[in-house]
Amino acid sequence: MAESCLEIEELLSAYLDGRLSSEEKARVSAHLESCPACAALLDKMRRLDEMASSTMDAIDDSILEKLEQRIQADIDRLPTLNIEAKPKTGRVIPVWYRYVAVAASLVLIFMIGRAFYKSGSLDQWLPFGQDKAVEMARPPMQSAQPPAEVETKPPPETSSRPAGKPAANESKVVPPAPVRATQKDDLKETSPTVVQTTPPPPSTVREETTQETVRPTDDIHIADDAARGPVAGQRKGIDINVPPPVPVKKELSSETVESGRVVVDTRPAQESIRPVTVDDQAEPVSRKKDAQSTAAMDAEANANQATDAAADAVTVIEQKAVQLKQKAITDLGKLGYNNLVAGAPIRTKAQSGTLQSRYLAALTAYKPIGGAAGGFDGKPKGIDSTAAARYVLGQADRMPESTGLENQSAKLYLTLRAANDLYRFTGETAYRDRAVAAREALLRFLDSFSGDSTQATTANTYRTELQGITIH
Amino acid sequence: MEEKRQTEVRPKDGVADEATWVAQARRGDKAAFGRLVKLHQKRTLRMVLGMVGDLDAAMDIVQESFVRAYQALERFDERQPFYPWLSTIAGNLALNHIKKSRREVRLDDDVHDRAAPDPDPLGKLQLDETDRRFMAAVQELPEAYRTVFVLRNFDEMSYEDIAARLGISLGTVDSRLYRARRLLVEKLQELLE
Repeated sequence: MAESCLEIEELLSAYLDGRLSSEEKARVSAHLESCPACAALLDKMRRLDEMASSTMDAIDDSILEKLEQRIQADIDRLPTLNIEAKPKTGRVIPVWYRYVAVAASLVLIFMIGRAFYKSGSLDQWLPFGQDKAVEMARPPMQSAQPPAEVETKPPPETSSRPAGKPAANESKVVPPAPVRATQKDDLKETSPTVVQTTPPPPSTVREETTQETVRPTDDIHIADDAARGPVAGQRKGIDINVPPPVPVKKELSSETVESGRVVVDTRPAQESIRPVTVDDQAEPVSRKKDAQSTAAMDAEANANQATDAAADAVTVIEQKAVQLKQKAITDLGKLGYNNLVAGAPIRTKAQSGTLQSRYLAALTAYKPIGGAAGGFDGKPKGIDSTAAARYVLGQADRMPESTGLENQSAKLYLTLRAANDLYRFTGETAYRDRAVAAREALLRFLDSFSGDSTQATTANTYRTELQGITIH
Repeated sequence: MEEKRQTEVRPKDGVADEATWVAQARRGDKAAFGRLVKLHQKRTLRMVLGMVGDLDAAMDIVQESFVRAYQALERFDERQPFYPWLSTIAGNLALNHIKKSRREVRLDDDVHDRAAPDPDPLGKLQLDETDRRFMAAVQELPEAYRTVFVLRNFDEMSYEDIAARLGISLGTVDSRLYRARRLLVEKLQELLE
């Protein structure tokens, strides 16, 4: 009976994979014995599986060897990791992260809505009559506002730092050597190296160069997407102006599935890295009984694609929220800590940069860690600030004694800050003693530069900085 | 015959060592990460190749996937198996590649100096005509169906793993897989007769 065949047909795939209940399986088996057409279809499906296997068997050892060599060459070029084991209890997500995510989502939705509104696309979504209401409600000057208000594209020269942040005077960001010649867009995500060409006094370092210059490995920088060249710019234009909703959403989705970067470090990565493909809610779990011709299935496939596209748009918003959340975390230095521990920011000019630049780079990286920990004078929150402080203290310890103002001041200043933090984090009085000794040594050292006017100014800057540090 | 693949296939010898290698890699042992590469690269390549249908692109994506995994190893929960995490990265990169290629075709319709696409993206594989037509038909599947079909047939994942990976129900995995197979049967009717 034809109806029975159609019912059985939809079970054949699951039958092939052994996914049916014993009752369904018996039903299908009985039908197959009496229906050559369904038996033939099952055989064809099985042959598809065989084709998949034979195709994949063509991947021979020579291809794999070549691939392995390429991967290994890339890994060899990357910094050696130095990551401590995670605590068995897992990391706790601070409550305020959720608020940041919610706020970021609202801001994003508002911006998207405003973009549609300003481009007029929103009007096309409204039933007749409502567009007039929108037009009447719009302030007279609003339509004359430049589109730059919704533009997130930063100037090219600032694309490597968080949007809206000024550049540090003496710092520049140099991307690392490319990992590979292909996938150029992706290479932009790799960690840059902080180069301190003219090391500033401590106050300058702390106030100007820290968060602006340390760009963590996985920072996303949504605004950067718009600055990645004409394709991205053109895409943005299409997003705003194309009237039908589905293509607009599809376009939005296509630029956001950056898996490795979407991972939020405070969660298990498996939870946050997901393909955009989303659940097709329109598909019922139970099987439909209606007949489906090939044409109908193709139509359904198209419909499903549209559904997926719409769902993609939702995913995009969610992912943007995640990205913004990560950026917020980044700005607070969470990932600055990662880089610091990984040693990335310590790679300075020519890899053999001056000790001074090394320590200033360390300090630059250390500052946002303090920020993430609740400030240097706050209580550590959620990250291993102790490990970071130990790292910086180790760097300072390895710096030889110097008679130069910058070198010696950087060494003593780093020692003071790191030891003071370690005392606060661990309660070990040895660290307090080290911090006190470092401050006294630094003050004595600075006193020796009172004669020279330029150096005296720098020394005074250090003194002022020291006044703000309480050892506790 | 029905119980062909109930659980996700993992190299038996590597399971016990994997967590150790991850831990060693996190502590700076690049050779340990190299062992992870050797353990998982073939399966990753199968999956990505099924998604993009282009060997060179697939190798680039797998290469990039391992690099990203290495760079993000700090965030990886070493109590979890490594491959699902890696293959999710690879799957996302493959989807990005597909969408990017599609977008470039659209945007560059009027550009004539663009390099022509590789006429034989699987040329380096020893495939017969049947296999080539099969791979071409897989690439023509709607994305949602192709993803499920590839994860099942090329990555050899269980329904449960596919559902977890894509965030869909088991019923949806079932129906998408059925539709993918049905469409392939239609497209390859001549070969399968």
